[in-house]
Amino acid sequence: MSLIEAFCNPPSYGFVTVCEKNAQLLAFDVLDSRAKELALFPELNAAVELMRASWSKESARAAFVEHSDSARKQLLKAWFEHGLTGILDEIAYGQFAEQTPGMRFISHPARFALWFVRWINSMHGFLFPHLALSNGDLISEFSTNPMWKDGFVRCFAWHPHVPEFAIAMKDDFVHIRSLESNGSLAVERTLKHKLQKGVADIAWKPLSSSILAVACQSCVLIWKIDPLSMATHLWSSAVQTLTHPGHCPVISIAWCPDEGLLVSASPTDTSILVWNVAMDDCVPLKRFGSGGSAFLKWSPDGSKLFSACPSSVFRIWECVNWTCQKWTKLLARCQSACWSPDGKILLFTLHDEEVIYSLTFQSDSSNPTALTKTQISAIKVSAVNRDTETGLISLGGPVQDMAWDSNGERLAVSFMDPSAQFVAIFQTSLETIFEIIPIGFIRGRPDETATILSFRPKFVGGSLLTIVSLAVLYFEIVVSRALHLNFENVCYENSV
Amino acid sequence: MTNLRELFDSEKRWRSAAAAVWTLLLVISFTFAVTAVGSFDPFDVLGSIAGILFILTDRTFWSNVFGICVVEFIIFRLTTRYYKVCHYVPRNQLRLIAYHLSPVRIFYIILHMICGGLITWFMTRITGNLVVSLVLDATGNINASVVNEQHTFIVLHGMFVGGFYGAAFFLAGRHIIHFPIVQQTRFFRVKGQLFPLLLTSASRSFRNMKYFYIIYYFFCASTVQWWLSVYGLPQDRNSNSDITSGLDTISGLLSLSLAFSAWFCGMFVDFVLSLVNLLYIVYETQSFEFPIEPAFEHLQDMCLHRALICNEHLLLQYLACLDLSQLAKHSRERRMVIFSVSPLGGHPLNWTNIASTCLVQLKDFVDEIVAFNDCPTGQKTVGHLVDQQKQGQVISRSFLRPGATHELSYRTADVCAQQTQPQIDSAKRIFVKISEIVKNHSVVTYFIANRPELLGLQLFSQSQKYIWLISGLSHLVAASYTEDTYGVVQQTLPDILTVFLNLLEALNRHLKQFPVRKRNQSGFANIHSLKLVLKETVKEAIYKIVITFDTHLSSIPLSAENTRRLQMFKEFKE
Repeated sequence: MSLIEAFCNPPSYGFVTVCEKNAQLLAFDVLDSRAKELALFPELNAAVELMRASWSKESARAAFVEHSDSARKQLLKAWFEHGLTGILDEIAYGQFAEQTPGMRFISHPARFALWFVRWINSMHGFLFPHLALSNGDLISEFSTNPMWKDGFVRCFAWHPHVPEFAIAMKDDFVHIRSLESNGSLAVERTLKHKLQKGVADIAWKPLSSSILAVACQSCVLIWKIDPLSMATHLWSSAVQTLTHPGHCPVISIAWCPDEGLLVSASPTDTSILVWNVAMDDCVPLKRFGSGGSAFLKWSPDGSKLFSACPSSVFRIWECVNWTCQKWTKLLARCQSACWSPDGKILLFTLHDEEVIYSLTFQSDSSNPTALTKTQISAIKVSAVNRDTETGLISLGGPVQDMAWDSNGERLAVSFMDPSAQFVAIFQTSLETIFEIIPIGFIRGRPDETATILSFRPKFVGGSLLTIVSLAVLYFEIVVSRALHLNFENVCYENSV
Repeated sequence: MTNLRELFDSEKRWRSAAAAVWTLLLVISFTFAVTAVGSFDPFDVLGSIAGILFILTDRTFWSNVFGICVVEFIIFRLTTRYYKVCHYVPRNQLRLIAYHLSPVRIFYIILHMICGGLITWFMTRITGNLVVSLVLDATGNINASVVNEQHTFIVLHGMFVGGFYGAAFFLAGRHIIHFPIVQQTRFFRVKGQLFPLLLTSASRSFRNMKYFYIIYYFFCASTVQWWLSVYGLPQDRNSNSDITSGLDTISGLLSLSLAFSAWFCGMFVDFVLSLVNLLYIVYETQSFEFPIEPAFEHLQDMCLHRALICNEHLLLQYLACLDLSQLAKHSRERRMVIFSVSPLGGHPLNWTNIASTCLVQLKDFVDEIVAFNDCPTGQKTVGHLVDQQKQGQVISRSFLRPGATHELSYRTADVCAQQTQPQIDSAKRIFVKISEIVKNHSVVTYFIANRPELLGLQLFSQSQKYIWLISGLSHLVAASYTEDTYGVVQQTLPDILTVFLNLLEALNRHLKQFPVRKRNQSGFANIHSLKLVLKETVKEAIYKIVITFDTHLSSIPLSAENTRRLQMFKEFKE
């Protein structure tokens, strides 16, 4: 039975979910004034505010007529910024490849050469098809954000300690905004660097107040933002660049929760890099035969690291001796994953699969490196069609992304089309056994789809879920003090 | 302390032995692989496989591999004693020059030159395509033989590569044992580094060949003459069809096959020499578990807190610090032993021992940084002078150089001795005067005056040790929030926080005075990075405690200044 069947009908078309109270999601008409009263935080229209903000600052640029660089210049630029793979990428997929007639004939050999160079660079065991993709397509293919290429917002990250968030936009600017005590948003800072292109991931350092890592096409940028400084624009002086040959595009980064280590992954590199950022040094953790890494998730207790591969393989690393457990023969590649706050349960989903898998690790204090005692169970979220006033709607289906709040009480799940406009909210309990209980569906503005889900860490008085849609950020207050309800029929427990 | 030394020696012995054995095994495998790849013919696969199997039974192959192994073992035995866990930083320019030109280094370069030449010679005997021996039989005359210039060229190139490796060993700081960022198992560390090492050797050998070509071209004639004089050989090129033009001409040197052979042998020599470095460092940097609580009284010396203060063996002390940091992060069981109390009297002996040891070291380090910040030239401070004045010593101040900053120098003399031995005193005075005149000369001052940047580097050369201590302490404190059932950590928490905050303050001041320039001071760049890592570690440690204890920290007694600094951390504004 699909767990989706236990859900009530989602809000009707034209209604927007505002918050959760007493285990019920409240939705109001878009034009209803109560919607604004109940919402603790305003909506942020990133497309209008942030994109315009960054453009308006470039007043000097507006005085000049834009022109495109010549083919030679573009190639030289690609060579200096990204090296051999960059130049091949430019020949194979660059704009002038379509414009210049002669270039069309060499773009195909260039694609093959790019494939071969990436294969040789990282000693891949097999010729994986994704190695022939351009850098942009690679990120778009493996990012959990389905609108990475077309949407305005590419990445979003809450600050782990203060009410502040970073948001990476399509124009390669990263904006940092803080929430005022009255709930209003304030423009804080804008980060821009010439290497900051194709931002695939951003992450705040947990044991710090002001360090933000940005995964870019050719490198990882470490921004040091002085909290006491009043500067609104930060440029190259506040940044540190981490590069490693063959490690591009960087698609995912994760900070160790209890140390200053940073890990980075690239789908073209068989190694995961563990960086000592201050030392500007890294250790590659090389494992062959899985075609690189698609994304990384560090468990909140810092003991395990999950790394998904572009092929149907994922690995779980223990962080003492850095050995890994390899999970193979999956039905598809891993699509999304999240850890429980205690680091004992991992939820993951596969691409185009209508199931959430849970993996439970037994704690063994005598041997922290043991990863063998694991249990796996599955939660079905297969698609269900419902008749509503506005017509037939589809709920559930293949999972796009998941987010678990830091209290371990709420789980948000977004789906692929045609259910992309709904986000399912589950109540979770980790006390004795892992329980997952449906609460309801969140709906955004009409025809808006959810692209990024993120819970604010350490939110007092419940959980604060942020949903990024194509252009707008909604701040949903999900209050975790729910009434006790009898959910025995739909409670999915871990098989012991 | 004897027990600790014995323990350390036995540990070091087996690590060295294991590293040596694995180095030799890898050298044998690599030599075989190179030979097999070289003899492989894609058009005759079966024949190639038979040929490869034949190599395994070939006596010449094994005798030469044995030769390479002997050379490799000699290098291993003679060089491993020069490995250090931290840089030695000389105080002034004179010592810096002396350090770079020390006999040990010269010996090391000569040793590597000889070994590089020998390894190349053995290798060319195995491959044997271009060159077979250093002398060739001249055609038509059995008794006469000529110098094989090509072989000489390749062997000399091997010597050059060896010498270059030996020189770069100290200059590039390869003799410093860097501990890895994460503690992987030995197998994966070696496996992960072998291929990059091979690529580095290949590119290094290629890049350095141009220097060798220049050297060989200009000293070619003398080299050949020297060979001729040693062997008493005639130089007869025309009689041998293989050698058309001599290597003292540009056209002779521009032979592709010769360049390839030289590059290939150079890469082999460089790789084989680098293997010693790789394996030795991998084994030495493996973590070692020290007991926290002695099972018996006589084993008291082998405990972790004793190893933490063992200054005689820095490697041992480093391993102890690493162990503390590892156990604090990963081992709940061992943390429980630290937080336990003694059965008689309920004293937290283990925690007290470890915490006090760490705090004393960190406090001393803070004091050193503060003293250095106050007076970077290494002269005694005014406060110090006043102390000495109280002890009845005569102190004179003199300004050394006009235009220079006010540097204080002092001279002490015993008042009683002055009265009883006037003649000796006058002689002394003249000597001091002359020495001061010499010292004041600008050229001499440049060489012998203490350089503040070098003194600063010396101060931070052992930073890795403190990084582990800080990280270990902070993890222990954070873990105590849930694991410390007897509250043993609580009493020490104010001291720990005070040390961390003082250290951060001192570091901030130091980094403002001496901003880090990584490209400066080649060979010591690592120390500059360590300064930054140290600062980040202290910040992380304070944040870790602040995040774990949160509001409980307000009840901890701290000085007003430190409370203010801690408040910045609580507000996440540091």
